[in-house]
This record gives sequence, C-alpha cells and structure tokens, in this order.
Amino acid sequence: MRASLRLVMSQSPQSDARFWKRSIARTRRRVNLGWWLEIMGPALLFFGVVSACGVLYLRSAAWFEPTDESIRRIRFVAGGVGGLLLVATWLIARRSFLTTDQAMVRLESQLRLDNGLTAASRGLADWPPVPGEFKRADGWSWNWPRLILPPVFTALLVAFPFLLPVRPAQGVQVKPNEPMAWQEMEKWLEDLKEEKVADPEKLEEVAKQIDELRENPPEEWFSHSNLEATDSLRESLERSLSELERNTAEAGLTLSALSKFGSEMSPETADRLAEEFAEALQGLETGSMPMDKEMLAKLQKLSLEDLKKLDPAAAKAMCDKMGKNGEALKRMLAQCKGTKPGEGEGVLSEEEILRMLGELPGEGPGKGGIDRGRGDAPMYHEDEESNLATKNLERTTNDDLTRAAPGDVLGVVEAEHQIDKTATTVGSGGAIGSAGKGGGRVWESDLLPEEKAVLNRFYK
Amino acid sequence: MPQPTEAELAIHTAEVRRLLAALNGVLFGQERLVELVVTGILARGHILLEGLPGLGKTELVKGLAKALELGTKRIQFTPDLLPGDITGNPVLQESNGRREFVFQPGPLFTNLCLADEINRASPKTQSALLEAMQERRVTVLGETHPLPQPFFVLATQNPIELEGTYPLPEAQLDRFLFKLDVQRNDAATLERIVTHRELGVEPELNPVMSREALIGVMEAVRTIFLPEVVANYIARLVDGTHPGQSKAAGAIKYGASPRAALSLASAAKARGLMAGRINASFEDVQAVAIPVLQHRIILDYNARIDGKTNAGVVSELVAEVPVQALSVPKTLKESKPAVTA
Repeated sequence: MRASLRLVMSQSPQSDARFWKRSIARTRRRVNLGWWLEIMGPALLFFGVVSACGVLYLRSAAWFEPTDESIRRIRFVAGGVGGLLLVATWLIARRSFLTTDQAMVRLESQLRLDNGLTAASRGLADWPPVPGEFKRADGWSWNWPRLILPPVFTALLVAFPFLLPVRPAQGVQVKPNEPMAWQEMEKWLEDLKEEKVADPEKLEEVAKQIDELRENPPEEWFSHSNLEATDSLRESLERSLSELERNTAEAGLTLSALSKFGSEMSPETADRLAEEFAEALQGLETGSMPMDKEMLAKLQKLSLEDLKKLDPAAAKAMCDKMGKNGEALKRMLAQCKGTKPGEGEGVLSEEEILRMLGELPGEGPGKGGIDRGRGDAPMYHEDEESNLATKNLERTTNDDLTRAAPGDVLGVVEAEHQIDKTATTVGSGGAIGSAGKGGGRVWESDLLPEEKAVLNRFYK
Repeated sequence: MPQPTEAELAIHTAEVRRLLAALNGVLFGQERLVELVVTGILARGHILLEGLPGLGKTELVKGLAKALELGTKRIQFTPDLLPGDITGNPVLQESNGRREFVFQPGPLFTNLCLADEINRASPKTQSALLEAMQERRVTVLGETHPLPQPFFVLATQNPIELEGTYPLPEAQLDRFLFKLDVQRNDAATLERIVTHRELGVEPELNPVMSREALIGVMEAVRTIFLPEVVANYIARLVDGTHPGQSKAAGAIKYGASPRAALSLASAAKARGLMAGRINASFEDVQAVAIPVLQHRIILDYNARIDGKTNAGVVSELVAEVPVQALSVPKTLKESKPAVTA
C-alpha cells in the first residue's frame, strides 16, 4: 500500500468529495491492515514454531515416509492451518478496526481541517478544497522493523528444521532383534542346502514358514503365541532332521554292507539287508524331511544285484557321501540339542520357575520352599535381643587439638556474670532543661522529607 | 433551532469581523485579547480581565460598549461597597397619597457592566453578583428583577496590589467564561499608541453592530454544529484536569467543573462562527482551553512552590490529551504529514 497521497487541485465540489472519501477509505484500509498485521505477527511466530516442531518430528519419525502423496497431504494441512490462522487473526483484529468516521476525524485533525470533513459528511458544509500534494496524510507511516521481523523469524523457524542434519526416516527405523531360533533354523536350512542332504523343496517350505513368522509385526515376534509357533517349528525340524539322519545312517550301513560283503552273504541275509535298504530309502523319500532327490534317485536305481556287483570305488564314494551327510546331520542335531529354544531370550527354565514357586528348596534364610522346615529369617524373636553394643558408653578424648571438631569440650572454668551491685537510692526529678524551640520543632520533626525539600527550594 | 445558511453565516461573520476591526482600532497590539473578548461575548459569557493598571482593560470595555451600541455602566469596587449598591435598593416613595417601596435599579441593570477591580469588594458584595451572572436576574427583598438582555459582566482585577483585597471565591470564578491575562505592549505598539492617542482624550468609535444584530449573532452561535468527536475531546480535556486522570493533573488539587465543559463548547462554537465555519473544531477548543480552564483549576501547594502557573498546567494538558481517543497498531508509527502545495 502506498504511504503517500498524491493530490491534485480540485475542479468541483464533487471531485473534492470523491477525493476525500477515497482518502478516508485509504486511511481506514491502511490502519486496519496494520491491525491485521500486528495480530498476525505473533500468530505467524506461533505457526513457525509449530511447523518447525512438526517438520522435525516427521523427519525423525520412523513411520513417516516422504512420498509425494504424504508431502502433498502435509502441504494441504499446512495450507489449511495457515488459512485458518489468517481468518482467525482477521477476526481478532476486526475488533480494533478503524471506522470510517474515525478515519475521517484522524485525517481532518492531522491536516488541521477544522473538522471540515465531519461537517461535510453531515451535509452541513462543502467538502474542504484539496490543498495540494502531501505525503502521509493520516500522519502514520509503516513501522518496518515491526512489520518485517515476524515473517522473517517465521521463515527462519520453518527453514531451520530442514537445515538440521536429522537422520532420514528409514535410517532411524529401529527393528528389534528377531528370535535367535529363526536365524539358527535358517542357518541349518542353508547348510542342508549346501551339503545337498535334504530335498530343497522341503527346505523351502520350512524357510517359508519361518518367513511367515517373521512377517508378523516386530512387536509380536516375542509374543507367547509366536514363540510357541517358533518352538514347534524348531522341534518339528529337529525331528525331521533326526529322522533323516537315522534313515541316512541306516541306508549308508546297509549300502556299505551289501557293497562290501554282498557276494559273500547268504541269499537270505542279502535279501534282508536289501529289504532294510529299501525301507531306509522309503523313509528317505516319504519322511517329513526327504533326502536330496538326485542322491535318492541314484540309490533307488540300485537293485540287489547291482549292489552286489557295485564297483568298490563307486560304492565307497556313495557310502562316503552318505556318511558325510550323516555327519552333517549329526552336527546339526548336536547344535539343536545344545541350545534349547528360549535359552538366552529371557525365558526362565523349568527349574527356575519351580524354585520361584517354592516347589524346590532354595538357598539362604527365608528362601526355602514350603517344606523347608525352620529357616533363619532376617528378623525373628528370641529370648534375648541381639546385642549390638549400642548402649555402651565410652569416653572419647581428643588430645590432639589440631584435629578438634567444633563442639569439643576443651576445659571447664568457674565464672560469674557482671552484676552492678551498687545500692539504688531515691533522687529528685529536677526541672526541664530545654523549653523547646517552637516552630523549629515542627521544621525539624514534623515535616515529611518532601515537604522539607519544597521549603528548602522555596527559601533558597 | 435551524442552522444558519451559508449566506446568513457569511453575514454574521462579516459583522463580527467589523467589530474586531473596530476594537483593534481602539486597542493597539492586543489582537488576541480582543478576539477572545469578542468570543466570550458571542458565547454569552462573562469575562475576567487581569492585568496591570494602564494596559487598556477599561478602554477595551468602553470601546466594546460603543461599538455594540449597548448600555454600559461602570462599578468601581471598593471594600465598603454594599450589595445594594450594585443590585439596587427599594426606596420609599409617595404616590397618589400612598407611601410604598419602589425598587431603584442599581448599576447592574445595564447590558455591559464593567466591574472594575472586583477583588477589592468584600465577599458579601462579590456574592451579590453570583445570581446576576448566572441567572441574569436580581432578587431584592424577595422580589426578582430580570436584567436587560444581553447582559455581560466584564470584571478587572490587579494581580499585584493584593493588600486589602478579597480573592474571588471559586464559585464566583467559575461563573466567568474566560479569565484573560492582559499582557504589556511591545515597543512598536507603544509607539503606535503614543502617535495616535492623547492622554485624557477618548478615542472615537462608531457603532458597528446593533444590539439586535448582536443577539442574532449570539443566537447563530448556539446553532453552530458541535461534532461528537469535538464534544468527546472537550469531555476528555475537562476530565483530564482532575487528579489522577492525566499526567498534567499531577499538579492540580481540584479540577474543573461540568460548567467548564459547557463553557468550552460554547466558546468553541463562537470561535467557529467567527472563522466562518458551521462547525466547531478541535482547534477551536484548543484555542480557548487556557482562558476557559485556567481559573477553574486549583494547583496544589508543591506545584505553586515549584513556580507552575495555571495557564502552564492547562497548556501541558492540551498537549497531553489527544484530540481523538484512538488506539493505533504498533505496525504504524506517528509521522507528521508533509504538505507540499
């Protein structure tokens, strides 16, 4: 808005009236805008602080992803809040807005028009002639520091959180450590896959089951049901591996026996071993954890005759392979038994739980179970109280005064208060020594300091 | 009462300007005083003139009486003056064989009463003026006698010879519309006086306004428009004379009365008419604030000892109280309008 008015010499009363009405309206608009901006200043600062906090929060929030859609929504919300702020400040400022009459009086008083505008607006007189060209007709100019500082501070406040080096939202996502049992099972599955011990499809199935557990929300990973499912899966895997190991070992043994001693065996023995081998293969094929299909196919191709005539080197290689598989399975099973599910994850063992419930005898006084019998409690009744030697009086002396504490008695002396022991006698009152100084007493005693100062100034 | 038309207003203004010119021809170098005296007359007020002897107070009143064609009487106030001496007394007269008291009007029964050295009369005599000044009538022995219209009291007092004087009571002072200080003349004015005047010879002055014309102008003054904002300004100004209501009032013990506010409004209207305007303005109020308010406030002891004057305190008040009670946003600051014609 322009701070100056450019006036031209009028030609007619109508143009004078138009000019003054325009000037009055302009003054009114300017002051009202000033009020609005004044109310808006603190509101802008408040908006800036809230925006800064909001931006900082969003930038550091784990759940927030700065996608186009989310940014568009934030802009929409910020725009809405800004719009509401503008409307609210306008409504508040409106209570202080200048009326047309007030603006008119301001203008005529500043230009010393002898209230000519008021009289003219009532139709009592002509509008005053336009005097010429002048600036700041209403006698006000913009207070620029007051106008500029709030928006500048607001802009700084809004920009500040963007300039701060806050870690990106995805960087600060804190995922809790998943149960160790999953990682262990995955490691076993990986090892089984590498060693080609088990059927990869079955391994994938187990891996999928682990993934399903993992897909649950992180805060539910350690829920009771989840841990139960994990435990069940682990036990199931352990049983499957145990079965696989047993069948592999059995097949390996029969294969070794048949390949080495097949030609020397009686037909019945060879048939029985062949039958056992076939059963083992059956177990390896239909078990909960089938054997690697390639290996299984090779073994299934072997008939009893083939086994008897098997090349010793090929038979040895086959037996070695199965032995190796068996070793790997044993190793894994050992690992399974070495770390029970729940160990290291804050789950109490059965023994600990029983001890807590008092089912098992504990250690120390008061910590026994229900069948502990008499135990030594921290406090108990006896015929005589414990002698803590608190009633014994001991004399302490301090011969070294360099280490004396405040309050130490250093010695005792006999002393007496100084009392005036002169006998008192009756005496006469006597006459008044000073008769007073009349007005002097008033001057010196009765006047207040400021009254004295006034009199001093007067008689100076 | 209808407001005067522009033509009527122009006629009244021209008459007043002729009166001012005539009086300025009698009393040299006292244009401001003359203007205020005429303002007071048009506002139907009584005027107290204070100044040293020989400054032309009496001359001004006599000139006014001549220029306005009004009856004038002069009362020289002395300590032994009795109320009956100014109001009039009943005199025993015989007529048609019967003896009865007939009221003999005193010198108050005139249009323009010059009360010379009013502070030399006793309080009893001064009080006799109260009813005459306020009600424009006199009551003697239970009988009320109206004073002729128009009626003005122009009193004078000497500020230095205070021995044997009786300061006017506050109630009496409040009845004077203006208290005007007659200032000494500068050397150039004195030269004019010496050149154009002769000791003991009264200046000639022809009447410039009839009694009827004066009454007409006074009636027109009553119809001058007083804007609400100006009335509000007057109210705030008078309220500001009371202790605690303004910074300037810190020196005031007792503030002005509502009669002061009415006097301000009336004087502002008169000044508006004299300027040829249909309305009174802030500037009019400011121009008459000191003569209207200075004798209506009582300064406290400390302020008087500190050398403050009533006129100075009123001046401070006028500077302090804004013409418009307006709250301004801090985003705007005051700056004087720069006019380049």
